[in-house]
Amino acid sequence: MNRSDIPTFAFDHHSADFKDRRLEIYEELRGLSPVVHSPTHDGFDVIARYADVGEIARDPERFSSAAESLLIPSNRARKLLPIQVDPPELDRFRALISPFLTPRAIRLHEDAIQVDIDEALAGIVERGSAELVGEFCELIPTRATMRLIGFDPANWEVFAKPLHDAAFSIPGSPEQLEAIRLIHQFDSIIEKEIDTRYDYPCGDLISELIKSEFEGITTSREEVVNLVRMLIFGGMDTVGAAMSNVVAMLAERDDLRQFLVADLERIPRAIEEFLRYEPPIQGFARYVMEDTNVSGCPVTQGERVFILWGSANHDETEFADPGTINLERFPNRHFTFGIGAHRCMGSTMARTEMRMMLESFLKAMPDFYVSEAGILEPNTIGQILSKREVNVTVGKDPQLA
Amino acid sequence: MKVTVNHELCRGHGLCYFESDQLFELRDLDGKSVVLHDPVPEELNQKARDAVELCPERAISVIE
Repeated sequence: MNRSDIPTFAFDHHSADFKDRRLEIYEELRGLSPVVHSPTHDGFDVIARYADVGEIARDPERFSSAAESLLIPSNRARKLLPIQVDPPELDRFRALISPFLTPRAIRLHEDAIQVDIDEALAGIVERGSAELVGEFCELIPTRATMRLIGFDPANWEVFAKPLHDAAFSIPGSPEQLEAIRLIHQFDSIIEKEIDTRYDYPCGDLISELIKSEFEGITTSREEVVNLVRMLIFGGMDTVGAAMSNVVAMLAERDDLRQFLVADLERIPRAIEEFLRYEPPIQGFARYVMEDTNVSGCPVTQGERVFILWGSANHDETEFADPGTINLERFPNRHFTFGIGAHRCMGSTMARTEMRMMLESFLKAMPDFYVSEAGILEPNTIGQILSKREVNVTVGKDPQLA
Repeated sequence: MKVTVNHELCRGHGLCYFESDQLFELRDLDGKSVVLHDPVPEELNQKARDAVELCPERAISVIE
């Protein structure tokens, strides 16, 4: 196949059409060709099939992450580590962070997470209604991430709100520019906290990173800042988005909620299926390092490929009946946490938080339904697939009685 | 039964460990999975087969 044979398709993940017809568009892309060119956002190649997405993600030598941005379009934000480096540097940064995110390390945070969950749910049950994204879904992972890093979780909204607003607003829109301004503000809070640890180390994650080294290489201040920023960008709005999607789904699908309430042991497998069906991050860019091919289709050095976890998760060659939510699906080898060298390092923390949140939520309020204020959809799902707001009332839906 | 983890492929997702922490352990350095029993005790045979299936990197194999 020649480059001129690559089909063109005006794929735009920030469009209203994509928001409405995501799964149909993915199916069309998978049917067209392993590589499809999109002329939108200055042009990029779209990779939508499970096998091809996996192959590219597992081959950082041909498909690099060391670029200005892995988003399309680029958000021109500061660098995040280790997501924006390739091996062998990648191995160094992952080794620095890995000890803080093992199952053993995460277990030490569970008690504090449970206290937050119980407190949030007690308030919601008492009031009888809630906007769940802000009051529950974002609150829990934001505070957990802050404790992981060594920040006082009391100021959680300083981080949660601008991250959420930036994620659901269209690139370049006034809403997003305002959110980015607030992100720059909290960037300076992060730097101030880090500089304080240089003077007064206190044994927390930041203090450990400051004195860390890997095979004789010490970690620079700039690297500490970008590692901590990655934990914030990776640990807060992502898990919040995943959980928003779960509660929105359960508010609307009485059958799924009853299925889980009947046996809470079903939750871990169900979470994998919710994650497969609605991954918060639909895809990331990679940069082509040499003229090469993907399943026989040529791709050109210097170009971007957009690998779509969201489409891979609905590929019928890997998942039987992918359009159906099957809470007992097994195996469920979805790509929601990425795959290969850059596998999300926080996946155990995310899974732990989601399991604890959903168990406690369904115990505290086995019945709830969408209230009049409704579910507010994001302006775009091109950065994060989530809900802006999920307004619910506690108790049995009077319309179902 | 013998179960092995290919460390060229393993990326430390940890799903095998959550399936059976009696059969798998994760290294602190990089989160990669280590097999704790060779041969696999009979009562863990099904856990081993499930681990092969659920690993998203397809890094686990068994010899029956």
